[in-house]
Amino acid sequence: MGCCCSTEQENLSQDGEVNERTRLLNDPVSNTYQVTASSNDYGNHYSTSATKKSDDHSVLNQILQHTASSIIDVGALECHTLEQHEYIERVRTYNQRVNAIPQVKTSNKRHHEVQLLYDTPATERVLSAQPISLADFNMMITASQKVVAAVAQIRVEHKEDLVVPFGIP
Amino acid sequence: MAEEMRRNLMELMKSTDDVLGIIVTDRDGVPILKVAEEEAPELGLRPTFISTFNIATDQAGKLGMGRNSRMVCVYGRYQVVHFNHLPMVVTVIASSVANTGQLLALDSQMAPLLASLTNVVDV
Repeated sequence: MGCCCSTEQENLSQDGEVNERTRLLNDPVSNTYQVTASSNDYGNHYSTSATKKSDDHSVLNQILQHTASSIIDVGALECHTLEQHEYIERVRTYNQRVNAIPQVKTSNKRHHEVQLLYDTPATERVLSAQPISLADFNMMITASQKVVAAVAQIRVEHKEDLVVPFGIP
Repeated sequence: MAEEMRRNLMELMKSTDDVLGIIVTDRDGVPILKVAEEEAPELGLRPTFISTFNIATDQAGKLGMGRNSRMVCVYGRYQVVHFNHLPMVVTVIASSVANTGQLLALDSQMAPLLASLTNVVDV
C-alpha cells in the first residue's frame, strides 16, 4: 500500500480478494491484459500501465458507443435534409451511372403478344368471381335502357334571362 | 440502359393492380429510377418523405428482432411499402385497396433490376 510501482499488484488482483485494486469491470480485454502482463518484464511497468489505461478507455468507449447506438432516442433523431445543389448533383451522378450500366439481358415481357401464356395481374380475383345470374343480367339491361331513355329526355328548362344587367342604373 | 430499366419498372408497376408508383432511391431519398402514375401522391415521391424510412428502419432494427427489411404504412387513401436494400431504398406507392401481399412480392420481382443498380450508389 502506498507504493506507486508495487509489483504485487498482479498477485493481489489474482487472489480474488476484494480491495481497492479489484476491478469492477471484468471484461475480456482486461483479462487478456492480465495474462500477458504477468509474463512481462516488470521494468516496463509504467508503459504497460499506460497501455492498460488506454485499453480500459477504449473498451469503455466501445461499451458507451454500443449502448448509445442501441438506444432509441426519438428526441435526438435528426432528419438530414439535402441541400438543393447537392440533390441535383447526386441526381446527375446517378443518371450518368445508370446510363453507363452495360446492357444486360433482363426479363423481357414485351413479347406478350406472341406468347400464349403470360402473367395476368390478380387472376384469382377474376377466376373466383361468381358469374352473374340471368335475372341480374336482364335487370341490368332493362335498368340501363331506362337510364338511357331518361338521359335522352333531359332538357334545359329556360326560365330566366341568361344575361342579367347588374349594377346598371 | 436507363430507359430500358425504366420501361421494365413501368411494366412491373402496370402488372400489379392499384400500384401508383415505384421509386428506387438512395438512403437520402434521391431518385435513381422512378416511375409513377399521374394519380400518385406528390408528397410520397419526395426525398423528405422517403428519407424518413432510413431513420425508421434504423430505429426498428434496435427492437431486438434483427435488421428491419420491409415496412408497410397504410394511410386513408394510400399504402406505402418500403424495401430496405441499403444503400438503396425501394418505395412502392399504391392505393389503400391494393393487395399488400402482391406489393411485397414485388421485392423478389425487382431483384434482377436492383442487382444491376448496386454499383450506382456509393456505400
